[in-house]
Amino acid sequence: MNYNAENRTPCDRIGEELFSHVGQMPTQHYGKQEIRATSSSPSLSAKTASCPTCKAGTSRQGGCACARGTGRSSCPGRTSGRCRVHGEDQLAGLPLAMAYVPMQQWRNLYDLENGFERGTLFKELDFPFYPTACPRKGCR
Amino acid sequence: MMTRDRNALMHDIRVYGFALVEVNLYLDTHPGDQAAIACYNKYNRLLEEAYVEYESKYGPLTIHGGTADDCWSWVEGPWPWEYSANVSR
Repeated sequence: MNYNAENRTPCDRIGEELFSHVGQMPTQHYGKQEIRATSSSPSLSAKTASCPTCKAGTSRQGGCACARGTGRSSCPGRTSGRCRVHGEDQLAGLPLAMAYVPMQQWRNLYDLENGFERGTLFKELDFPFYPTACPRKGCR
Repeated sequence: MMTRDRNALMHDIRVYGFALVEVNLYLDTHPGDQAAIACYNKYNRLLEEAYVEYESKYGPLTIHGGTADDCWSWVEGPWPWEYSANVSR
């Protein structure tokens, strides 16, 4: 199929196929609504997603049941309160290998001087990164 | 308005300019955000005031910032690599 001849965007090319299994996801709007669609997950059922470790079905909110009270002790993949396989993954059920960026909101601003010093006006975007030693042995 | 010396004016221009870039980037993805638009307008006005005050006192900040009278004032201020052009407060 010649997509260029049809004047379709890359977004159109991946849209229908990738999201076809996520029933009610609004394909024409997913650029802005993927997070909201996930948190309510109206289309996710226990049949379509289950924790491969504890074999429990996911709840409507996503994530496996082993991290949510019932069956806690029976999940072998659970470490320190969370199933390390699915845990509290709010994005469970969405297509893999896609990047999701929550929409920023106008809130938590630095004042001008502090923002200038920090390099951003937004506290929520202030992520100082410090170099640390590589955890791998022998790696420099 | 409070008078500011050269360094304080330059500092304010940098701070307002930086804030405007931040709000500008935010508005690129939130063009209808009224709070951000108000913020942009406020800082834009403050930057404009600081610009006008600086150029009226100390000469042009950009090549567009002054008028050529009897002397080419652009060469009179400190050059970007000189210390006095980079000190902030």
